[in-house]
Amino acid sequence: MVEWTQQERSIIAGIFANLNYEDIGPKALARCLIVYPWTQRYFGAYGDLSTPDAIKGNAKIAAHGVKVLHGLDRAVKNMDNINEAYSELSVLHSDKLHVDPDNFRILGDCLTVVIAANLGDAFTVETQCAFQKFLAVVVFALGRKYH
Amino acid sequence: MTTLSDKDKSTVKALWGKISKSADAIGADALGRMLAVYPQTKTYFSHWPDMSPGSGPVKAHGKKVMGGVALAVSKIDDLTTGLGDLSELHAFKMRVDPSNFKILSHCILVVIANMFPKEFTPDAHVSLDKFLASVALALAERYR
Repeated sequence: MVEWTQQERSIIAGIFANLNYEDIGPKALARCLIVYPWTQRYFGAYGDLSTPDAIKGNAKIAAHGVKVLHGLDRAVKNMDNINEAYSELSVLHSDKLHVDPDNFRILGDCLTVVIAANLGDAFTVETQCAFQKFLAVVVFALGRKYH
Repeated sequence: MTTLSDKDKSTVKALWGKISKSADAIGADALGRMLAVYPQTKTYFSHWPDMSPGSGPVKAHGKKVMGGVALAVSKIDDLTTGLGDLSELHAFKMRVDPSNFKILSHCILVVIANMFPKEFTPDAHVSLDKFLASVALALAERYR
């Protein structure tokens, strides 16, 4: 089981309490699709992804970015049982969506970059440590039920 | 892995032009974050009296690392030749596991995003990520 310090818990709670999902979600997903274009393989039905500007202006991608970011709420609410909390989502990503789990790590990196840009001085070393630890735990949980 | 397009090269040079005066600060911050967020990287610096973010050794070494990045920008058309000496250093003297280059690259990107949010657009991000991956490849060239 993952152990969290009080400081880590409050850092994570703080980030998500102050998060503008409608801004950060789309930015993180768009950045992922632009920086790592092979991730576009999962978005064939989402319309025009032919240029960075098309991706940034794509309403379906933006909506999906918000959805994915809200997917992290489950972990914030279940910090002491993230593996179990993501059990069904892991099966979904494996059996229905067929997403290579390495993409979870990639998206996590893009989210870290976007949050770093957004928080400025508030993105301290301690904040980055806690946030990346949190993402690593979620990434592991999402890949756990692959078979 | 990656060939840098003309667009990548001009994007990297343009971005570097905007951020290079903060190179020392970027290096110090990136290195400090790397050591804290990825504690396994501390194994290479056990000879330092202080590995905490902002410490003397971390600042000095961060500056050195960004000097290497500056050199790479100037040799962007032939990184393998341009970084030959540094590759030998990392391969034979320091013997840094090449997987760590990816880790430090990520930290450099995070710091640049943090310090220059407007300049670090997705387009700049992809070109810089490709560039740092190419630098890592050039540094690993002499390993075996």
